[in-house]
Amino acid sequence: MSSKRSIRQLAKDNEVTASAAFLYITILVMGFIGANCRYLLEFVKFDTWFPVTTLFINIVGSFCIFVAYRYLGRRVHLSRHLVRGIGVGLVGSFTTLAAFYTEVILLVRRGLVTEAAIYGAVTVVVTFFAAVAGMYFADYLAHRRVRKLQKRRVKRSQERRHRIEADQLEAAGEMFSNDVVLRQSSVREVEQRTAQAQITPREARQAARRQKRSKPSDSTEKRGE
Amino acid sequence: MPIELLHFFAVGLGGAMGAMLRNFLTTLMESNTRHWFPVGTLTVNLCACFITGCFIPAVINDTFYFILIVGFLGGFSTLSSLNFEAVAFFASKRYARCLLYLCIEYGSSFGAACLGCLLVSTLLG
Repeated sequence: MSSKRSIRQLAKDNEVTASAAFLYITILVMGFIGANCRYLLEFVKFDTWFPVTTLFINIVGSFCIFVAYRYLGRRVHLSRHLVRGIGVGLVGSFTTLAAFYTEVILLVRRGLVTEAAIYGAVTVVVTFFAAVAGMYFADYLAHRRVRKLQKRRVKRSQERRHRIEADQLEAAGEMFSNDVVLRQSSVREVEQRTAQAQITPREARQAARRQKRSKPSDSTEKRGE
Repeated sequence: MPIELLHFFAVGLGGAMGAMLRNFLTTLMESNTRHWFPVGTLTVNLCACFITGCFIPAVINDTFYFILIVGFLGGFSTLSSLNFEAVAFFASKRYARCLLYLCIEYGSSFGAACLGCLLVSTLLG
């Protein structure tokens, strides 16, 4: 008993360390990608005093963090470590506070204090509302996903119901044909009788149940074919 | 300045290290003590902003600039987690807490950046 428990503990410990290693590797790779995205975007230069690129980067990152944590993490059920890797690594190193303050302080040192204040205020307000928008967008995505899953489930259950009804109708038809064959009647009479009867699904179900009770081996053989 | 492969790898490496260190620090700060306040993000941003401020007046090597400022400090400091936490307060209808958090975060990190900048510029004369 104790050996079993220790083996289980060992396995658990191994899993824990392995998952931590996976987390760090994910964060490293994602951080590499995120920082390079920012580096490459900084080459897009605009001819104004306003640092448009950094603002754009921060807005996009603030928008994406909610999609990452709330949609990918809670709805799509990606691996927990992968989600944390994306949130901390990719989006976290894509957005930056260091470049923002560098630009603010450089503007102040050049003597453009009002411009620096405008830039700071715009960044603070717009990134906050970008994050709020990201939250609503993540909820919208989650809703859409839930609806799609529900639709698929309904469709699947309907298909199953149709299949069952078709089986039952077939079984009812078999019963009719057996009946008729016993009486040595023609094929046309069979058709006429089935048309006249206008079997409702409920009747068909009852008929099938009756048949199953009377001779189960026969029906199973026929279905097996 | 054209895109260079060396700078590309420098930035990527710095960003990866910064992200890893940030994850380490936030989990360390937030697992030991329980606050209403996300202390981890604040600490990380304060450190990053102070170091950034220190390097504003200094003239440094190009590769060093890319690996440290653009890569490491850019990856180490984060605006997205800050906004994530603030909006999480906002969504749970704790408006005062959200506003206080934003004020503390932006104010103190701006103060740290200014402090670093002033310190180094007085030291350099």
